[in-house]
Amino acid sequence: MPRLERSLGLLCALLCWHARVQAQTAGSIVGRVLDAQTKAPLVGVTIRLLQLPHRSVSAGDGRFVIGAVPPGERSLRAERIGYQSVVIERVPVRAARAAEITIELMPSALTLPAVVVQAQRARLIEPEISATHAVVVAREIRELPIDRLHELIELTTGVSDGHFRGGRVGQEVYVIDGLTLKNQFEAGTEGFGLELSPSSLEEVDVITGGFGAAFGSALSGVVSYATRRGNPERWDSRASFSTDAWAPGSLFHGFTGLSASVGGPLPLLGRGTTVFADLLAHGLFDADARVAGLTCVTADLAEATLAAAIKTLQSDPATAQLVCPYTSAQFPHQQGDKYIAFVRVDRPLGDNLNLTGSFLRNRFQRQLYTSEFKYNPEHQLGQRSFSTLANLSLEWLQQRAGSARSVTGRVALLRLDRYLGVIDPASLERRFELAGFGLEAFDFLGESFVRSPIDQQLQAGVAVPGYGTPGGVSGSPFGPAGAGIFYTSGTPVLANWTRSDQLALDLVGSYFGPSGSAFRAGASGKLYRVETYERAFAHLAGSIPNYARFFPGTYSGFAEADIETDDGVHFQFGARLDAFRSGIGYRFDRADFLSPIIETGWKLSFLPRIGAAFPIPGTRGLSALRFNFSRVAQPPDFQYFLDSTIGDSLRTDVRRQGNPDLAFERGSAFEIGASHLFNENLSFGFTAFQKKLDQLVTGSIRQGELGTEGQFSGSDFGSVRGLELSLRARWPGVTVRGGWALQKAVGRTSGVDTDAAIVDPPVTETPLAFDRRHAFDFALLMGRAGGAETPWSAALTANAQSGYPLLRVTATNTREVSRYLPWTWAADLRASWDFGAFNWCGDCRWRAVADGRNIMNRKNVIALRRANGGLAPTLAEVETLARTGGDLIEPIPRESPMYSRLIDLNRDGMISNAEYRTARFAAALDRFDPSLYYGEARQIRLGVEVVF
Amino acid sequence: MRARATVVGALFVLGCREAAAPFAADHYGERSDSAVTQLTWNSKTDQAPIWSSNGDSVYYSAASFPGLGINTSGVLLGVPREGGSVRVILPALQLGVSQARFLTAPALSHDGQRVAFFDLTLAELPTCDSMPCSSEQDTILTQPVLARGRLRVRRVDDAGSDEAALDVVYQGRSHDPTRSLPFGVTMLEDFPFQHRFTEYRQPSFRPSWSPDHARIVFSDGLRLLLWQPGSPPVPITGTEDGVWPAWSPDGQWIAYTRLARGQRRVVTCTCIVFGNGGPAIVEVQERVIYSARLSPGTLTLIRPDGTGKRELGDGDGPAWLPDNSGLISARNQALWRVAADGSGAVELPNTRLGSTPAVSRDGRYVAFTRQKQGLDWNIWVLRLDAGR
Repeated sequence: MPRLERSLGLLCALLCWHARVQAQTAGSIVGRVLDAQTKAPLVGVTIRLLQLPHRSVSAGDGRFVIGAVPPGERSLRAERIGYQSVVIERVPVRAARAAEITIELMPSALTLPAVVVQAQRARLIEPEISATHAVVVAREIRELPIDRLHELIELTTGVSDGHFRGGRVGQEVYVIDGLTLKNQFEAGTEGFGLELSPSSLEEVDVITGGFGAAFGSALSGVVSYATRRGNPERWDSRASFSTDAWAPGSLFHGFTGLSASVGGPLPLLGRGTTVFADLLAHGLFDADARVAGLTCVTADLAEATLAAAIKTLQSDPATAQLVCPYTSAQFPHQQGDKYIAFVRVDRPLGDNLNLTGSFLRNRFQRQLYTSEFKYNPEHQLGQRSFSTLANLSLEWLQQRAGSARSVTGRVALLRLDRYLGVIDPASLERRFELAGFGLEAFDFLGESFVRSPIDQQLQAGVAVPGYGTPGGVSGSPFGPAGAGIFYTSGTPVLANWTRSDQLALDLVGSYFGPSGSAFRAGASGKLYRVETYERAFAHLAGSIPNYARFFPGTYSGFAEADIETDDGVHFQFGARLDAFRSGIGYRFDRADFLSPIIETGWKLSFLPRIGAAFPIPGTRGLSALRFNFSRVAQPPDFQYFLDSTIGDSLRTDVRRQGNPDLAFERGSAFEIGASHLFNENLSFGFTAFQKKLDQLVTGSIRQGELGTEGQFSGSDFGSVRGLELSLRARWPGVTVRGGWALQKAVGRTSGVDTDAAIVDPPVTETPLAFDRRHAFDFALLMGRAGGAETPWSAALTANAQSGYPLLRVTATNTREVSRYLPWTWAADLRASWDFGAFNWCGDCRWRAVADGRNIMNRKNVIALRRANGGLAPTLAEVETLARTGGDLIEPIPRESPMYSRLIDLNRDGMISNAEYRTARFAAALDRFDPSLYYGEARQIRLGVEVVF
Repeated sequence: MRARATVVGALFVLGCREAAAPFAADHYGERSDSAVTQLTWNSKTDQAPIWSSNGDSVYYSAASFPGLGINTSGVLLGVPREGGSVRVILPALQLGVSQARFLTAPALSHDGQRVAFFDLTLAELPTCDSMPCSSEQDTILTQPVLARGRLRVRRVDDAGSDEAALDVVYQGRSHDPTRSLPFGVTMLEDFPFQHRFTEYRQPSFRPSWSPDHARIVFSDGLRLLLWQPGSPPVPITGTEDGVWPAWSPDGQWIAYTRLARGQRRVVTCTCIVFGNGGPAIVEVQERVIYSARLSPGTLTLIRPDGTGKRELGDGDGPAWLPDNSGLISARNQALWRVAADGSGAVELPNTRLGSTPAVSRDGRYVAFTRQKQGLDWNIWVLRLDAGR
């Protein structure tokens, strides 16, 4: 036994794995097999993966390569006659990585049971990787307090609120099983648009810097998902259910979650075929739960003059009831639901060929709370998105002693369909719903009309069916005083939809050399069919929609090499060539029909990338350095090819002319980093980076565009500099990760935010709106979450960050920071207890789960009013809104449908003009409720999970 | 069993929780069940209340309603018995129309299927800068404005067009072009019914259905007439100056108010307008003024065939109790209940300044009008069984 323990210790000490940034569905395992006593290389050792058909035989120098290994924690067995076999469990094979491992076998004349050891699960430093990345594996994903993968990504140092290292949302790209995908039409405003269930993933890898040449269409980051495959040996299933339906009022937000997954062999489709299926469903009463609930402007939030006005109202018993007539822990009109269905089938087509097909389907729909329609019981704005991904990949692998080659071809169809409009109230009434989740999708008023051929719509010349002019007074507590401030009848006026179809073709070839070096090359093409429709005044018969259908394309090719020198220096070289074409001809001056049509051409981008990583000499491998330099580029969001109403908070309702001739948004990134292993439990790393971005799309008016409508142009540029510190610690059953990102993101722009014609607009440098200087992230995983075999598990995550700058436009049309938003922080916790099996289900393991969000109930302020930097408007803003309705022509009697008791302050049955004015001020005050300026609400859910 | 109970319990918990309900506005406030409730509060004229067939609403005639989109002089509305927001009855007739109307005096048939009402046409009055008269007395009296009316019958559900209609000419305003040339003479006779309408918009000519809902009794201001839709109206003999007819629930009697005229006096006035060319006479008026035009009327019963006439004392705008046992009418600036034989007159409490009562079919409520001042009349409801 002592000998065995020594062997285990030796093996554990020597086991390690290396990772390289690659671009493929699977990872690989490369390594050497040595005689444990003589340290001589062993030839002819068979290394095979358990539960998988992959195997290899060590070459003369003891080296072996197993390519195309599905990501995950894999177990392998090494055996040779005359040696005691070794089973190594939990070798963390990651997508797009090569795990390097050294195996030592003890000579044995007897046939002994195999020695079982566990690989080092989490490496604290990675001296061979030049990129900055963070990996979370399936076991951790399932234990973390997350509902969406977005929350998981936020745990990566350098990612905050969807911004990767100070970049704009949409400057990242997503990779699903090696296939690069992006919502190329509107990533900047709608994000990826496709979501996977956390329980369907084997691994998530977030790369914030130094990503390889395989990745394009990204300026700031890469998120790589590796989906799970079925276990070829047995069926594994799990299901979980959690809800806050039990919670008292203020904690109840109407969340109900159901998640189930099942995977196993499917011999009907051929030997070795596996299937994995996963379903996630969320029912949401309050789809965007905020910590303040539905609140109101109170005196303590307002500046002095408004505070005095509020106090005056509150001090008079007759008018006190006008202040905050309706508050609620939940938001009204926020119902929604979500489902994510995923199925994956893997089928070997021979020794060297593997076919993988997967299908992913999302539906997310919800009502969208708008303060103007707060008191409208019938018609609410809503959004529904369907996302569908069908992916087929064929992987050829040639395994030789000491090397492997693979070629992977993929074809995928992605459809993103998003509809924004007025939900048909009848569809809400008739749909069967349990705990907020309903099988039927929301119907929208006039959707079939809005999606009908545009020629037919123009010929019909009618309003969108079902839409009505917003108005009404009955139903709001302010009655007639709320007219024009609140709309209690009619509908919101917007109808908008986009549909983006994408055919992606991808071919990648890889070579894995015996030394750990690898070479890859590939090409991909994406053909799009994009349709977009927007009708801003859908209730008016004469309004004309903006509609476009076009067929852009993006193409790329890349080649890269990972080379390891004898002294342990790893170099990564790569280059890629990107091209895109909008496929749209246009007139620059829309008013001049005689002006020539400009045909847009191909846009090209050549992007070299280089990186190096190596252990620092003399540190016994405890310290490592790395650096990388990348030229990065991405096609602009296709939405900027089209005329659009800029809807951001800065330029609301300012129209811009589309520009199909936009070029690549470009940038260059450089980073240098170091990591140090203090001891076997603790490591520290730092990264300094600088990113320069150029030709960013802007809606600011360019110089020389006087007399024409402003056009989107690629004239913004900026830079981000930053420093990231990270801490990794690991003890048995405990894993700790923490990080601090310090950065400064500035942009140079014309700063002109209106349609006013300004000669020679000033170009200034100001912090970007998402310039978050400090961001801390922390994750503590204990018990089962930390890798221990315990009945309990706990995962605590926390984040803290400084606030965004609040920019304002000065009198000279330059931007300046008026103030910074306050710091925000929150902590989430998920804990579970495994009760084991019950008599009536002997194979089941039951777990009780408690899942909390913002458990400290931190009342974070995430936005402020741009005008005054506060949560409350100014007195002038309230008075201006209050005055818009004018005065009463005649008093309103009690029997009038316009009468509201709340504003009949003296209860004489008549609403006088003085009472009306008072109530109108209060209604305007209520319209400015700051509810959406607050962060996520505290939520506590309880549930049960069963694994069988 | 335990698992099943757990599942059922979980579903119960999930099913019981609901999303936040939007604000439920209580515009009217607390509902009153006190003895007397004010249903309308506006400063204009609300008149002629009647009960809906199920007794949960009071229909009446109002001077205007903002939801109509056009300015009207009279609109038929319904208001909940306990108070609340009014609604337009006969919406197909009244909503979305371009022609302003003066609808008033609704009467619901006993089967609740039809409503009869008057569609009035008022006389246009000249605008005078000066009005010298032959007498100093009573020269400020308003002129009779009631000219014509159409008694219309429609289905309560407002389906289709009028089932019947009858044109009625109201006496009080005429023109004799042969006198006082070249202007002629406009003769204005201020009958008590005209005066009540001109001053207070009281439709004393109101219709009332027979219990078999085959006939309607109404007044042209000077007498009662019976009308069977489809046939010409027939005057009821002995009903001179009879107004406010009310057919008894048993069909045996018609109660009405006889308005005394008093002494007749004639005053001649001249309407003068000051134009660019100096003063000009635009109309010569011969006004007939009755001294008793505002005196209380006499509550009278008569059989539909004109027999059995008897008077029960003072009483304006009578309404039958559902059991035929008596009537409620306005007397001495309040509402009074009187037996059908004229005995046992008693004032109803809380009805000061009340008039034109309407008794609900269950006999529990009386809707009536109450004058606040001038043309400011509102609808009230008295609960007859309050305090019992």
